[in-house]
Amino acid sequence: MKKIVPFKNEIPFKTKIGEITSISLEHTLHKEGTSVVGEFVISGAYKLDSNSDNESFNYEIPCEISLDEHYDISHALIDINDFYYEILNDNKLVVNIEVVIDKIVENLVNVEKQVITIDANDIDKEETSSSVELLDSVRDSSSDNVIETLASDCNSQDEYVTYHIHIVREGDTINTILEKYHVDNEMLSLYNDVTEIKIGDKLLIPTNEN
Amino acid sequence: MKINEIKKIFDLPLRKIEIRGKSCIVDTGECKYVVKKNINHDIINYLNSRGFKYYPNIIEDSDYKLIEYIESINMPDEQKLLDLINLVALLHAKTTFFKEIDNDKYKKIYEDIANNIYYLNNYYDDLLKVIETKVFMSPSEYLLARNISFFYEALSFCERQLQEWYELIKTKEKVRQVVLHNNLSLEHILRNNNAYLISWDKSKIDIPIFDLYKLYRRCGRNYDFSEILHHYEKIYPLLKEERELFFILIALPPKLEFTSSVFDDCVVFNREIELMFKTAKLISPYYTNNTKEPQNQKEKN
Repeated sequence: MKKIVPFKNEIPFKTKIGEITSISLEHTLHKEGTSVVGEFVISGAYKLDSNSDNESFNYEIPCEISLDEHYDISHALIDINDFYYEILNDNKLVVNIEVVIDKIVENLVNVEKQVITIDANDIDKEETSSSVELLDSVRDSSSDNVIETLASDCNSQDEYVTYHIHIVREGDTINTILEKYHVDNEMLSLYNDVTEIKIGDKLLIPTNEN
Repeated sequence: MKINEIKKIFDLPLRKIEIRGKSCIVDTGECKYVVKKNINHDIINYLNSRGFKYYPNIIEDSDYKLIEYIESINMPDEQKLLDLINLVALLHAKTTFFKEIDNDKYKKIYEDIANNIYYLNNYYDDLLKVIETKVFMSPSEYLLARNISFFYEALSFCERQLQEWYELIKTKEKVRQVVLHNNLSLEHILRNNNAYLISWDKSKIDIPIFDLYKLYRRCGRNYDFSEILHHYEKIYPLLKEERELFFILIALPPKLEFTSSVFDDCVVFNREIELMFKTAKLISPYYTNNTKEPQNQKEKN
């Protein structure tokens, strides 16, 4: 099985960016148990404007991808699938990186259940935190995917709490959602801001399967 | 340059990716390759057929070209430039052929340059008039006004030589054509045991001086170009009409325009004026005495 994990990160520069003359991406991702950990190293040279000399830059972005235990990644291959960049407001470099984890072996039958937590900490303390998007396969397949997260603070027994993620569609109301998942309003508002929901919002709905 | 397309086509593990201009260097952990969008299919075959093999091997050729990565050794820029000019002279020497002169083409070149000279003369006249009305000139205006005679001198030189060149070219029946690299710069020569020219995307067939002209515009300010020209002509002597046109092209002053930043203007103007001084220094030995060839020409003969 193959999984593609997209990352997006904004790197603010201290000076104006006129032109990126060269940019390189290197990764030190490796497997540690059921996680893939490492760093992306973004380096290169840029010009403030057409008359200035090249200035160099170098940023390290730590990254961690955790998979559920029923995925065996001992034979998995980790690689970069895509990389592109853009300049935002003349002073921010936005890098988009896709990591592909190939040859994942799945031990359970249930394809829908998987755990993904992605950490992207601050870069050199002064950079903003990474925004991370979930797997395409998860995001696109259906609005009712079951995603488990390692939310230990919600469960003192270190057990997994299972959630439904419901993407609000046309015609949905709080009541129809409550009815569909058999939860009460109190429970729903504990996990979500239900004062104002709009189409495309993602609602976390705890289930009591466990 | 789309990394995921490259990944799909060549199926390489990507340990490190470096994007430099229009090319991408991929490091698989075991070896490095250069990937470029495929634009020019035929030129490499043609070069090969003419015995010019100073370019990196192409490993795979589809929508993108997978090219061998050359680990280049560090050397001083002057040495690089000499290596570059030697390679270019060799390229021109190996790919020369004669073509019947296309009168229309040369008439057009003549008219274009003549119009340009006329336009620049008027442009600088007007600009100077505006500058002179000011009580206090800005530094960039002062820089231009102080050196304006130099611009007029260059323009009148070009005008004179252009007539001479056109008379000369009219009497010719054939002109030399070569393969031009058309994108020469110090970044495009790599050297280890052999020398390699890279970045052939813009290459085309035309008269040899266009390569020299582009190289001069890029490197003329920082290096002694008379030495470079001398080296080039050792391998590939320029014909009189070619040299004339080359000198006209490099002597033609650029159109300098004022922008909102006086500082930037000063930097750009200074750079251009410096290059014009260098050009005058390069060209003048050829014209100090019309009956005499310049110093390095004499040595050669």
